[in-house]
Amino acid sequence: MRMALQVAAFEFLRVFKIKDAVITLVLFVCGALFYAWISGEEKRVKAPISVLGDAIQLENADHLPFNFLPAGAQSEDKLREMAASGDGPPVLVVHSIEDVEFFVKDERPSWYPQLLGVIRDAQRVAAMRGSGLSEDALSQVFADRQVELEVHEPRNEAEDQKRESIAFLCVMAMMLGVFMGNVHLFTGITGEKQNRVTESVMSAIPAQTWIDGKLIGLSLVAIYGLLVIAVCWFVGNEVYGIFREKFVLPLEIVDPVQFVVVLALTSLGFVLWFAFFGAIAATIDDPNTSSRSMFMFLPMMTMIVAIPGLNEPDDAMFVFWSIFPATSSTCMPVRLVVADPAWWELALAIGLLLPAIWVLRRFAGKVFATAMLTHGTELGWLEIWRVFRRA
Amino acid sequence: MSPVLDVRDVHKSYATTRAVDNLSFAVEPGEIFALLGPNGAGKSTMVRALLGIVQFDGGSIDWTVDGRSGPPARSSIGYLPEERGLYKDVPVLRTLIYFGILRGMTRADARLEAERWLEKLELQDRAKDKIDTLSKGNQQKIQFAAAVLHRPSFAVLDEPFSGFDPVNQEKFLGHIRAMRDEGATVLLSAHQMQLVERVADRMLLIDRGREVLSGTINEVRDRAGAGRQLVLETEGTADEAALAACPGVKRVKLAEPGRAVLELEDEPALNATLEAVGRTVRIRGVHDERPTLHDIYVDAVRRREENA
Repeated sequence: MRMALQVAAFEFLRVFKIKDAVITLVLFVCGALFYAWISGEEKRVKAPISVLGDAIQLENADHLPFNFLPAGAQSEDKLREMAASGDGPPVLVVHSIEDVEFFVKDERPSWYPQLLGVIRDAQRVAAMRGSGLSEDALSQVFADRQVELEVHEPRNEAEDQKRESIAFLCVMAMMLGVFMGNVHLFTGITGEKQNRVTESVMSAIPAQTWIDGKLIGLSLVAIYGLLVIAVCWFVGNEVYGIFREKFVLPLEIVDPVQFVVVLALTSLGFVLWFAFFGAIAATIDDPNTSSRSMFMFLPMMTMIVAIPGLNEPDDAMFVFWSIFPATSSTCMPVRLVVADPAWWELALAIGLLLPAIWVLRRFAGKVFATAMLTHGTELGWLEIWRVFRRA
Repeated sequence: MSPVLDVRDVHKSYATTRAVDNLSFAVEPGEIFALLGPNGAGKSTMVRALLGIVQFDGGSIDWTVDGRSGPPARSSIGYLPEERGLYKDVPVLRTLIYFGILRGMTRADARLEAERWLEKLELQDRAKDKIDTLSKGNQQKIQFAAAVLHRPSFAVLDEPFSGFDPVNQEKFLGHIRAMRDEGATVLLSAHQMQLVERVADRMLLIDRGREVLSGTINEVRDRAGAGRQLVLETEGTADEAALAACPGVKRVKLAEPGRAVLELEDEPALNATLEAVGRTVRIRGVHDERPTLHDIYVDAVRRREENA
């Protein structure tokens, strides 16, 4: 085990380069700035509107993206001039109930339809008042009537949406981690074969120790990669938030225990996939011509089965995927976040995943011992199957 | 004292070739033992099978390393494979430390030894450079150091001189001798016979997986019947039959016009030989020569093929 950890440290440090992490962070920040620049979506600060005239009653409301401000003593010409030059806010000139004019610089704002609705409501109220209706009658007209809403098994849709977002992030994190690790795994192992490092290493340590070290090291690489991306995303989002409305992650719904379980499942998933891909990569002689590189995309299948589970986490098929070893590390986190799986389901998923990892790890070790010293030809599928049965 | 390695009747075949054909030999403690032969003679197969990288089809191997019988600990073995390479993106010092650790050293010991080797190889100022910035020759040096950094009791060096210029070949002859002088046993596999004959204590010459000759360099010469030679520079072409009839002459080779090589009997009466030769041909120059290992090997293989 000590030697496997030495290999793991070596593999990890080959990839761990703080300079590259800093460059990634800078690129994320630049990306955030660029996106803020090209994004048409303005930050949700209420836009002020100067209102000149009182023929209609315009009231501010929390849900509206604008605020009405009385124009004060300034003349209409002056207000228009300031709005035109950008020194003042848009101007709403209320000449009469029927004659309202909105003056704005450059283009119609995105909230104009809402403004129009508010103006029309105010025009109707003013018109009714003008028609001689009593205050009581007016109160009757505008009174809110009660509507009862009865929902069978009420859901908190906002909460559900937040949980789906977090579950989706778990799936994406799994995919990102697997792909990042796989890239290093494939290039690393095929590179070792091509550089002829294999015989030196395998005369020093058993093939099983070597692959074990790689699996640990590359799982750390995947977690490290995710961490770098998370930090970059967080910083980039904060930078974006200076200029635009930033994206808010609903982290308040994350339960720490759940987080640890999801992290553990995800890490086990990394080891499972890396063991499988380590064995496949070892059989590749020349990555430029081998068709086996396409196996790298196999984990996409787990994403395909995981996405429907965001909405139907307790569907029988999805329950199966959340327990089946090849997909449990992707699907069980989804169920943990958006549903409430029984404890035995989680225990069964982990109970099947661990032996699967053990078998794949042994398989990878056996394939490694044979395939890493085979040059000029790829280990055939029949031979790989024989090795798998021996594992 | 029992041999470090005792190999008996081992054989190994691939699909179309018999790479090792019933070979037997023993490597004694503290000696440099050379496996010699041209490319494809079966040397690398032999070495890889000894280290368990491939399996022999039959025969037996007995190890007694550091006084312990049985398969040796990986930390006791140093191995420089013929097919070798390094992590190109990793700095030199870190590479050496890593290989030291893989062979069971502590990080501190590995660092110390790596720095000592870098100094010995005059590469101490390249310690932090990545391997792929080094020349091919310097990469070869690092590979050598990585194989023996942990001071193995038994070092297996497969083609250690390939890729080196003559100056560095000389230096590495020195490094190999120094390893032996420090108590290591070295099994050398190479095809550069002129280098190996200067460093090996004993050797096994093989061809197509079979033994051609074995023993110390003198034993090999004796077994090959390769005694002293007189090289004559003559005026015109000598009469081969007349020269062969001279006393003390075993065989005559007329390599080129104006040059004759006389292979002498074990203890020739040189005066009589030279007088007789002088009567046969006009001599312009003469010097004696011992046949090189290369000559012995080529001659032995040729004779074996003729007999077959």
